[in-house]
Amino acid sequence: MAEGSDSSSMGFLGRHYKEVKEHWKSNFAFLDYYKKTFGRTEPLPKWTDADVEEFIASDPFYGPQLNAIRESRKYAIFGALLGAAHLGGVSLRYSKSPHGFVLATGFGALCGGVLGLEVAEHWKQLYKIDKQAANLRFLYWWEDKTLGNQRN
Amino acid sequence: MILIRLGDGLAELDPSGSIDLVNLQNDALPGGSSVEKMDKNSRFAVHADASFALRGFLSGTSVCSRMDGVCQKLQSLEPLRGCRTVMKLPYGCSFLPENSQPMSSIHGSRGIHVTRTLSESTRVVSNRPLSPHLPVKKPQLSATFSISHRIFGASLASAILLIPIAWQFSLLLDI
Repeated sequence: MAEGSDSSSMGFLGRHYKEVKEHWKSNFAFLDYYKKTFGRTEPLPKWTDADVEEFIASDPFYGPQLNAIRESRKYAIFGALLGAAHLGGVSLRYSKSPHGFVLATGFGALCGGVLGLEVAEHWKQLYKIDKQAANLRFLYWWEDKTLGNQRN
Repeated sequence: MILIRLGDGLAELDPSGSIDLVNLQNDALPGGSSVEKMDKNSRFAVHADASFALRGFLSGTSVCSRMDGVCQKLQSLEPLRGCRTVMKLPYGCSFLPENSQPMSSIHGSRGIHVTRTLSESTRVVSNRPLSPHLPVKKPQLSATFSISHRIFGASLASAILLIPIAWQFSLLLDI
């Protein structure tokens, strides 16, 4: 085994180790997303809803996906309100403690929000799209727009 | 002032929870010298931790409106003690209530554990000092291991539960 790795710079073990590293790099590829947001020396300028709308109009493929993702926000808010009201009402019915009401309402908002996002995911078929890729495309577009302006 | 009958003597229950024997004249008591009174006090002293429940029980059963009902209920179990208002507590001490405290009447007809309003409990409970426990115990490997295991387990459980939820929220709500 030692002779094998000595005979060539990339012996059997070396090649295997390289394959393993690439495998895990592809597994953790979702972390590259954060290089675009946190891994910068200076942050990108903050975008507004109008900029996002502009991107949605401009990109034929990722635009509708990003639009669907943004629509799911309304589902989350509606679900959070519903869940908070329901669980807060239940806690008020059975107990008079104010901290219990606060905790129950908070937890109800969390559960309702998650449920709303799940409903949106299946109603708009968001499970079919790569949400991270859609977000990343917008970031690429925004980066080209702002840094391109700075360059020019 | 609540007087407690301990065996043959009378004791006063003060707010701190300990029972001090009432300094009564010898002829006022049915019997017993002061030395016997001290023994009875040491035997039947109510601990400060038990005072809350005991106080609740005492104040709960000392309400005027309920006294007749409780008296009749208890007298059905015990033979008449010669005094209508004398009630028997579980561990051999009975008490006769002097002035039924007005504050207990607002709790209604409840049993042993009368819920006290926050103002009442803070008035009598919060001022006593506690004996040191954490500052004096020498840290040992077993105890340190146990609490760090619990802390790590709690943080791991919350991380496992909350990180996917945070991921989903961030993906769908970031842009």
